[in-house]
Amino acid sequence: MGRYIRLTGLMMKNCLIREMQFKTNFLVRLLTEFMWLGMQFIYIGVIYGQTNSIVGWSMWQMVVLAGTNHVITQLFEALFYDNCIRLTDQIRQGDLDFNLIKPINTQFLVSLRYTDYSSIANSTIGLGVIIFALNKLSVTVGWGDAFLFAALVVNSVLIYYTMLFTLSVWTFWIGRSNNLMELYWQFGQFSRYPGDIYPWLIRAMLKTVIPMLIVSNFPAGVLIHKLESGWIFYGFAMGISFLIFTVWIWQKGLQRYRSASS
Amino acid sequence: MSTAAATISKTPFHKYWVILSTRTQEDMAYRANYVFGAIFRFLPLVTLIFLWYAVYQARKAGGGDLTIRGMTFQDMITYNVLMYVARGFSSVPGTTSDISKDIKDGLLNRYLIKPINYLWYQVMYRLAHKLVFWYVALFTFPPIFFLMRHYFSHTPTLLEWGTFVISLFTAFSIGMLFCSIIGMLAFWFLEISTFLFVIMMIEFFLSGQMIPLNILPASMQPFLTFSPFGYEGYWPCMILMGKVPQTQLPQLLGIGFLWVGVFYLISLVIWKMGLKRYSAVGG
Amino acid sequence: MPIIEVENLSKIYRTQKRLPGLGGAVQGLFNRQYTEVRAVDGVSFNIEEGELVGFLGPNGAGKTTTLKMLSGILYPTSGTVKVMGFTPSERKNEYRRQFALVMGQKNQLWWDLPAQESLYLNKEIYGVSDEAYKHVMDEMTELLQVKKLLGIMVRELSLGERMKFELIASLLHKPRVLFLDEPTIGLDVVAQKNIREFIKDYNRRTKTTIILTSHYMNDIQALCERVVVINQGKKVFDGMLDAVVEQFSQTKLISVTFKNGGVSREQLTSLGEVMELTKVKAVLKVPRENVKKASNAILTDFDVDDINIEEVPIEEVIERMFKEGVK
Repeated sequence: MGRYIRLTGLMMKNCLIREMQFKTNFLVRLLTEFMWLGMQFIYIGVIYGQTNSIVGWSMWQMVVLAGTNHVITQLFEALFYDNCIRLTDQIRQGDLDFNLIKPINTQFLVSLRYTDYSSIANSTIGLGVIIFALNKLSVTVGWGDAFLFAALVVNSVLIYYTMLFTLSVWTFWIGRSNNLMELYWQFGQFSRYPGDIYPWLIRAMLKTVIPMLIVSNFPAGVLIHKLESGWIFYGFAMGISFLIFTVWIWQKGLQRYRSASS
Repeated sequence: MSTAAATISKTPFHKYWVILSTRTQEDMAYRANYVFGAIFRFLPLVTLIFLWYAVYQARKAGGGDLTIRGMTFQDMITYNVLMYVARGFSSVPGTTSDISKDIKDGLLNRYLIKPINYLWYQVMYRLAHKLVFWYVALFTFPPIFFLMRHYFSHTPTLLEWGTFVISLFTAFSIGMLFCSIIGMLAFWFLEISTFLFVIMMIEFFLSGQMIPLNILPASMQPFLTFSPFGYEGYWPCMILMGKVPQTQLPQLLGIGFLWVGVFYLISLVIWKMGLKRYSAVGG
Repeated sequence: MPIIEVENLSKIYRTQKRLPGLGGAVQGLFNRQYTEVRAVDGVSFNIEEGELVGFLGPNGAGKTTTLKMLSGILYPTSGTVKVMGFTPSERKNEYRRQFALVMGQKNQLWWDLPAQESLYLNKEIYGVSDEAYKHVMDEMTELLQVKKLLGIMVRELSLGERMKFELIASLLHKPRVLFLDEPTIGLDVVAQKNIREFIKDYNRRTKTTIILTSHYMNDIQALCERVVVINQGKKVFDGMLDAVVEQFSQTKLISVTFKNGGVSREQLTSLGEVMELTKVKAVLKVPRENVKKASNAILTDFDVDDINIEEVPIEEVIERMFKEGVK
């Protein structure tokens, strides 16, 4: 375990050295995500320009949700997104070879190799937004809730990871999956709004097969007291089950690896 | 002599057809990937329908107006569905990054030595993409439209259909030219591809893909009406929905064509200037 | 007991058949047909500890696929592989700590970082102790003369320098078994020679078992006593290299450039088999024992601008093996 943490640190350090060479890239990515967050707020603003409350959510509650979602997606993008996208190419072009022969968990190696530092910076902006909105709502958050929120955020990041990782691993079967980015974007839509806008069937699906409501709705729910405690346990259970599933499907996929030569 | 003449007589369009068909074949080879993407593309509609439903319900409960800037709930959904058609024409993903990459990495030389026009090559290449897109859409769009039929409250007139079709041509032209121009900025700014997402986001917003442009603040309306981006999404949708008065249609098309013309001229000038710079620097 | 045991190993790929043209592509969207490719087809061999064995064969013969199955990168379709008692496809950490793979066509070093960062990462991955790491690094960078290059971005290194670092990265953990897939591909003659000598010396000093694949007959000749020849997925020869050369490459090629044209085929046939003849140039295939005599004759009989004696290309040697059969 200690070795894995040390390796993670080492790979993150390597990425930092790498990142320093491409400063413009860093700044532009920062700007992009910042703009995206801004556009989401315009959208929320436009919608709440038409009404004061949507399915019982006020505007600032919605902003807490958007902020939480931003923190989660940015952390996910910081740690896993690039790796998942690269993974599809590696599978297709046969570049997994060296990862497979290392005496270390292969899934670990391919999942954490690249870190995107601009996204880490961006996730803090999301945190600022949450604090600002909570202030507007005059909600105070105790240490217990704050800790639970953090734990659920980690859980959500892992759920995002398991979903995108599974989609990447599909490349073993279908040969290409460059729609990944688009899919991530489209699944992401579901986590941006309160689950209550959906009818029960869709809501049930979004809490099981495509757990996009566990992501963002759960952690934000803790902060604005919109989550019953039973769901918390369920959320963690789902996160762990999904993680186990990726371990299984990764092994299955590797059996189909063809290691195409360049 | 005769064979050479025969080959030449097939040009100029034959070679572009070959490019087009080769590209299409490449795309088709990955069937699962394509069908998968084509179906999931509609996922955001689910959220949109329920979100706007909740908004209109809240207005109803509050005793408010049941239309927002003249748009009923049905209109709002119809707008978002039609947006798929409009953006299916106007969005040409990869164009900007491909062109800027060709310039940056000096790959342009590959095309410059061939007897083909690079920009036309790009157009054909993208058309091939669109062809595959619409081929697959032939199977995915009708079921979706059928499912959504209850939202379509307006039956377009023949005139509206006609203008709509023409506006789709405008949409593709503006999208293609705009992306090419941005891509060609790589002649001067090597890092242009990193700004891609920023540019895409502006396009996403100003084309009305995110929010119908008429819902945005009134102060922005004059700008939005005359911006070229509205022609990539907003205007085609509004035309088919019958939201544009008949008398305004010619004016609308006129401005669209004007933008196509302006962008075309800009792209030619930029290409010429860029190429001069490119050969001066040595590629 | 052999350190590597391969028994009846096969790898079969299924690929989609594509019909030509746009119509074919559209058809492929709905109705797919597959063809089977037998990349490796019932190969068996044993290798003893400390051996340095060469894999020979034309492109696409199945050499690399075999190596990848030995490394556990690919799952065999059928047959068994045992390396040091392990089944590679299980990819046990214990196994992966004891072997290494170097591929001339793929790289494991981080492109945008100095080589030393990648090497250090490998040290941590393999759990090599600080002292051992320092010792190996000092020794290897010295031997391969790359000490000064440790801090340079990998993308700025030459192919040969990069390959040297690839080798170091693979040897940090002192593997018992080493697989080298085309380690000299694309390198210039000097770099090829450096790498070749390093491998030879490393094998002699450490008694590491090595399997080497290469296009270059020079590599194989310099390094391997024993070769396994593979063609179209099947093993066609397994034995001493001398036997291959004696058996299947009993001729050499003499290429001559004449100062004045007009040499006729008849004038040359008595010296050897005429492979190629233009106005100013000829290529003759001559039995080994006659090479000296023939070249002397050419030099005296004709007005020669340039003469060159070379081995028959490896592809041709192998081709000959199939024609004449293998004992």
